[in-house]
Amino acid sequence: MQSVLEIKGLTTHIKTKAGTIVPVNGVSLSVLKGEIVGIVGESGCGKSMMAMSVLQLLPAAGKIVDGQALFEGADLLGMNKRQMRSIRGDKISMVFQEPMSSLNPTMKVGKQVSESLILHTKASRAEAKERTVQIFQEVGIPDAQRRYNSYPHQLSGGLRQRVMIGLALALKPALMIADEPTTALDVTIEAQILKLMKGMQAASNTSIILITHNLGIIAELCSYVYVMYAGQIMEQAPVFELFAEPKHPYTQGLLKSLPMLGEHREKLHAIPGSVPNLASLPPGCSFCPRCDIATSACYTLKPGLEKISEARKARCLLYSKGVAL
Amino acid sequence: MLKYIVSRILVMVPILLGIVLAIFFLLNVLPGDPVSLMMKDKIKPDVIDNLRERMRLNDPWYVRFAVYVANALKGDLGYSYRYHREVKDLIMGAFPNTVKLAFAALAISWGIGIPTGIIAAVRKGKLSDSVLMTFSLAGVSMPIFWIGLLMQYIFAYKLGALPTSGFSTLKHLILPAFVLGWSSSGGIARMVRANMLEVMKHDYIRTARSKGLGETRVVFGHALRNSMLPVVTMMASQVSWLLSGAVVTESIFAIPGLGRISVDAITNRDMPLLQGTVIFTTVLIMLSNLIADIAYGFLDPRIRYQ
Ligand SMILES: Nc1ncnc2c1ncn2[C@@H]1O[C@H](COP(=O)(O)OP(=O)(O)OP(=O)(O)O)[C@@H](O)[C@H]1O
Ligand SMILES: [Mg+2]
Repeated sequence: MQSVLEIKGLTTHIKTKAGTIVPVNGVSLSVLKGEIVGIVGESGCGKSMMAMSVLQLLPAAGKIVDGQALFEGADLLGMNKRQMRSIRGDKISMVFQEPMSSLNPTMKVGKQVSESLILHTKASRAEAKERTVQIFQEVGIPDAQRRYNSYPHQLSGGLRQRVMIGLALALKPALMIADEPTTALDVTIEAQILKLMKGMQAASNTSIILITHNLGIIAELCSYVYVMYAGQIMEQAPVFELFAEPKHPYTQGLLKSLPMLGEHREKLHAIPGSVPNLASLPPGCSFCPRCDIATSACYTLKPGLEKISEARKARCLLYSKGVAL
Repeated sequence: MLKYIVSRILVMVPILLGIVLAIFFLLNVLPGDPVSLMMKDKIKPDVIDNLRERMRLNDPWYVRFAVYVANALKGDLGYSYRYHREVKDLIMGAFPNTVKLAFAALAISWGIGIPTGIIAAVRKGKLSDSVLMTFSLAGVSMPIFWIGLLMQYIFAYKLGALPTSGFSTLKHLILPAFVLGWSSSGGIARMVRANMLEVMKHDYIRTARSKGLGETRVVFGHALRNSMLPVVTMMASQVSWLLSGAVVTESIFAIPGLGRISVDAITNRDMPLLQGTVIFTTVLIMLSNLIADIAYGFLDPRIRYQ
């Protein structure tokens, strides 16, 4: 199968008051045509920065320092602004974490979608409007004709996220990056939105990168998953294999913290320690301060991301000799 | 929206009444009896008493206040001792001149301030940003009378291109309007820039970029309207600022406007005229606040649809 997006060794720096941090540190991943790939990790591990790097939408303090992002064979990171603009929205689209703040509060939601259609398809205003109403119907917005003229504050969080998904899929892009599309929504709405995304994806054969910190969502939608920790991929595997047999201690911890269906537990297991501070990572393995089975070697050797079976890789000294510091 | 406007107007009534009362009180407790001022010393006491009676100066203050408000509602603001004319006529004669000056100044300050702010924001950190912001700082910090005199010196005295004073032709308007407008354009530029930079950090700007819109479309299509919201509120405070600036400007350029007659009223202790101009100005400022609120409602759908 042909891959739609192939990221190789992507490294992004952000200048902060505490010094330069590396929220994306040599990340490589690939997304096949029509595939939903999951990226999971705790808050602050660099998932959003990785996504922003691909579309070059980083905040002003951010800078891509190394790597490639091959989209349909061409390196996005080498493109000029004009080439990049023709990709954004049309070939690769994005759904953001916050449906509340991701839509312009002073512009009608319909216009925010039709604007994109006009830009990329040279459709007339009337055509774009008609198509937008149609899209609103497809993403399950009731009373689509009237909702075209609504402002974001007049819509619920769920409807706003439907608008965002409509916007992201309006031009049938080859790839959609969904950055925690349901984190801000309550559970029933979350289920509806995920179902919608899955349905839309099946209909248009769009590939999706789904970013989340919820392994349950990964299990439901994705076929392949990358586990990210402190800017690096810690483990990657087909979803079924990852759940059946997690190889990395961090993944094992994440899975233990997941409540199983029909199971009642007094207390959820949580990985001990706190989310790492990217400004002061330990030498050696970045996870070792929180790892149950860390040995003294883990504090002095950096593990590489090693192939452990046909479709799996893990970054742990259990599977890798490591590089001395 | 209509409900919003009506409620704004209803709120104005008690505020206006309170302000009129405060002004009335302040001006009436000041020493200096207008009758003795008018008559000097040589008049017989019974004539003075008679006049005081006719002007109701012997009545208690609340009666005088009630009479004043009742008359003011009919459009009668009293009689100027100094000019021997109706206060209303004096104000109506001066007002158009001040309006002309204020609108020209407004156009100049916005015409300079808004584009400057936008350019500086878009080119943040570059040389052009620093240059523009240094100029606007100069605009904010130079007092009007100083710019006024400087402009008079350069354009009227040295170059002889424009008249120094008077208000008969359009040419007379250029210098004072520029002086008054320039001094607030700096503040507007800084404010537009600050708002714009703030707005450009919002998530929806990133969404706009993620659609593939170019930077110009992002700025004018998405950022501008949102960053104009606080600027519109500033417009209201700018009207009071323009009116007070007009006092100085009109004095420097000898323009027969509202500012000039209030200064005259103060120096001559012409209480009815002073009261009239102050109340008139208050109404103007309240109206401009109302207009700003309505404009805000039009720009921001979150308010319009409440
Ligand atoms: N604009 C910024 N300026 C400075 N640092 C930033 C900025 N945005 C993010 N960071 C830092 O970059 C790191 C990675 O952030 P990122 O948003 O990619 O995390 P994330 O994995 O998406 O987390 P979440 O699940 O909370 O969305 C964090 O440590 C964060 O503090
Ligand atoms: Mg994020």
